[in-house]
Amino acid sequence: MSFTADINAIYQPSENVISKDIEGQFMIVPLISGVGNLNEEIFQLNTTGSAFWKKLDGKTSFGDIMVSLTLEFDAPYETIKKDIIHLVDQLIKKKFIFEVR
Amino acid sequence: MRSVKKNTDSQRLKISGQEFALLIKAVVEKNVPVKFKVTGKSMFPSILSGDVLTLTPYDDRKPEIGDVIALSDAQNNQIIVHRIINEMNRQFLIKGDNVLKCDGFFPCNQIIGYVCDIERNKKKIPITLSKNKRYVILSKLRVFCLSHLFLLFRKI
Repeated sequence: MSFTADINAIYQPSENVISKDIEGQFMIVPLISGVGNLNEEIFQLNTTGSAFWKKLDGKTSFGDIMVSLTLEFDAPYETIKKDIIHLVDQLIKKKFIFEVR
Repeated sequence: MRSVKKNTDSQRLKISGQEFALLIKAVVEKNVPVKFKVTGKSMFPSILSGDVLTLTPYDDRKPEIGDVIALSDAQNNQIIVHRIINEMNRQFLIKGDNVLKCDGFFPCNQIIGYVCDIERNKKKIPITLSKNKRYVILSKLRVFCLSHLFLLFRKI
């Protein structure tokens, strides 16, 4: 089953992850049974992914974030969309983010 | 998104000591315990290189003599896991069990958290108050004996 983007969807980071912006790149530590296990898994988002993560406030729609990223990176909308859809798919599968509405 | 997983070197994410320290702090600041692997011999024999420690924030109690704590070493951008061996004027004297030199006195706010769990070869090593106190005595005794030996040799 593949992820289909809904531009009106609003996403929010899960409470079961802790993220930290380290020199412009976000690192994500999933909480396993309430413990941040740095010995098992740490995830690092690339520059585009980090910019996307930063904008996940539980209020801004997916479409608005995409437009904002297109302007920020001065890149074609379709390129950004392709990258972000792939990322959102991964983030949802790992339960790092969830859809607010 | 890059990921790091245990025993999958091809996917291993390279994290600097500073980044690792920042991550540990970020997790503990959210009042969440954090698990990580340590290297080095400074806490031998209580903690061995490769042990997995669980660090917990001090939200339920105050630091005590004997606690194994983590603090950030601003000079080397690393996390130090050593023991509280004394307390004076609300400052804590920190030292590794297997080293002679103390790290110095640190205020409570520089202590990230305390080690509540040690895992060695997937087995839990219990941490007890009596064990902690014994290590403090041994640590102080080692400094005392070696410093006196040193003075004795200088006289000879």
